[in-house]
Amino acid sequence: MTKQQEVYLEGHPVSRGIAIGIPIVLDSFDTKAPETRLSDDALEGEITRYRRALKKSHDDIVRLKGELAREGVKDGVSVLEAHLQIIQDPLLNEQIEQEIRGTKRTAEYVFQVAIERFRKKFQALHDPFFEQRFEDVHDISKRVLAYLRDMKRMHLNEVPMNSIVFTHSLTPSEAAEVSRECVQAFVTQVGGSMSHTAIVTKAKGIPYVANVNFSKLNAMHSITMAIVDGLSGKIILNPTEKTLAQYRELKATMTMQVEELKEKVVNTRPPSSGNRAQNGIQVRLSANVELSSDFELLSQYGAEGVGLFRSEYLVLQRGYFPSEEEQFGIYKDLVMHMQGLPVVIRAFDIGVDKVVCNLKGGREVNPALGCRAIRFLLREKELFKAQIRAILRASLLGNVRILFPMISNLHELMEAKQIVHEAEAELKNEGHALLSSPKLGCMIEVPSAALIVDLLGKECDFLSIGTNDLIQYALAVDRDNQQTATCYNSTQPGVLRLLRMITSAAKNVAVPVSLCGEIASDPRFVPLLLGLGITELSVSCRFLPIIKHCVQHIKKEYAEALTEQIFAMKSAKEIYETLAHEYLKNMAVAMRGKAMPTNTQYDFTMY
Amino acid sequence: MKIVSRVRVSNSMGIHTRPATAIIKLLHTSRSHVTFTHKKATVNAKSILSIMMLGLQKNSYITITVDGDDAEEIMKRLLNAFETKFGEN
Repeated sequence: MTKQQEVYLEGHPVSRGIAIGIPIVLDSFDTKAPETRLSDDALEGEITRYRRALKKSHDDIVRLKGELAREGVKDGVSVLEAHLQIIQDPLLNEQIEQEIRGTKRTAEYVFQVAIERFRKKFQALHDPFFEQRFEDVHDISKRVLAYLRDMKRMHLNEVPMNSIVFTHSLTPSEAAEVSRECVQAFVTQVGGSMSHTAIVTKAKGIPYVANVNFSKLNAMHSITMAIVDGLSGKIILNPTEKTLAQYRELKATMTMQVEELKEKVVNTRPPSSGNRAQNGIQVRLSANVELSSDFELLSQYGAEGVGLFRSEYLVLQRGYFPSEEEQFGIYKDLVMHMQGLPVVIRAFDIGVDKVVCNLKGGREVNPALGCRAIRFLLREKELFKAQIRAILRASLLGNVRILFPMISNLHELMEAKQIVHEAEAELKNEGHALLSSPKLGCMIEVPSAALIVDLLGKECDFLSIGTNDLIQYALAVDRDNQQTATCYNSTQPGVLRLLRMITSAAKNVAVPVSLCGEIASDPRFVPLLLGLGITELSVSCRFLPIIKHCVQHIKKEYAEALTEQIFAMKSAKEIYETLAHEYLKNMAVAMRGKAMPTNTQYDFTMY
Repeated sequence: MKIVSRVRVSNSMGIHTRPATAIIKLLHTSRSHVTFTHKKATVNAKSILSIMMLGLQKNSYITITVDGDDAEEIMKRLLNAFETKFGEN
């Protein structure tokens, strides 16, 4: 093989995992069509060509809708139902045809001008929620344009096996459409870790790196191979044989281990009382769930409960708040799936970052500090109560708990509890049989809440630490901001002290604490979290095997001693390195039955 | 026959994609010409894009005009759909 020059790109890691594959660069469809003038006798042919492109796009949507219906993705089906109506809209049919005749311009040109006009109209509504609806139109227009350009549009679904897809941007529907065998990884020029697309790629387990500068890529004559590292955000183009061999081995080891662990974990499903092992540690390992299509995974991965059902995704997928009845149906499904194991449903954590919150207040300058979660719910009490009623009704069928997001003071918690009491009274009046009230919990993700855990703990049954937001607020760092991404550091002593403050205050008032942020799915943090006395870890299903494996191999004394040692340290770097070193030392041995070289730069089990 | 009615949007998120889809489907078989007027804009109610671009939020008022031989039936069904918030709440 000829000696190649390796080229490195770097971006924002969104969905972790390693992929090795053939790069496919999909054109961005946003380039402008030239304003070519047509002769009179070419016009009817042009219109026929346009109709054909619409028809092909229409058929694609019908096919995709059928696919999703078969997979049981109800939410996707209703989105595509709307797409079908849009593509048949007179504005995209008769109107465009008239304009082609009137302006004597190509279909591409007229179509693009029309779409641009729609975009401006949607923008002019000055309502972020409505502006967002343009995404649907944009999605459809890309499809139509691809067919119009007579470019053999490489459907994401048609890319060959083992492709690494490089593209300008990625819509959630595109990500949802791909088959896991064909698309090994996504690399995009724009995008962020909080986007819908991020959620879809994570749920499907497809590595994804965003915010990558493509200039080096565009300058290359040929790219025969690419490696994507979704944890570090690194991309290697035309890797050398040596690099390739390293990553192949790493990937193979990971795949094997994940399979092995999954097997083990499913075969040793612990009793419903939680993971009470001989090692003196009692911790429940639960799952974070976003999509109803993931309910099946819960038992496959041996989840001992649902530690966090992010109900806001119901709203995000639909673009509206589902009715009490519709919510009840979904919660019921989830509760039945879990067969008596605890299910924590978090009330809508709707925020500006997740589209809808400021629908009434207009655009917020600082959305992360704006009207979201409990603030929004207490303002929109009807919506809040409808959700609580749906949860209360589902609670009859199993072990349901309610979690309030983004509490920052005691008053908010009391108001939220009041809504629950009102909803209970209403349901009783209407003749619903209610058993005992479900347990109520409070998210600890705002520093001011962390400081009053003693007060909050007395008024609720459990606490749940949301580290993603807590770290962001404690360090005053936006983790999607490229300028500050390196400041977002979970091992800062300040962050860890805050965690300890929460767990020790909770212990004083005898309230259990669970943790559902991203650090729970990082195996290196497990001894520290156990040493702090966290009683429940909640992670995405596919991280359950590795975390469970860690928990089973950690002794209580060890976790507590390591935690003490960590708290004597002064720098985030020292703490991080200690956790990583300890992890490799202990876990790699337990995992392979033989020691892994501790100097390896790839701590593979992280993937 | 031509019928005109004024109606208030009562569902929480306004007339976004899903209610707009419901309206289009409802009008699918209608032989009447149907328009929505909001503020100064009058649009074809059989065009989902036009409806969405009105940006109808909760509590906004629109004037519905139905002109055709099935006007009475269509207006009744439209008003009912608005009334029941398109099955949302």
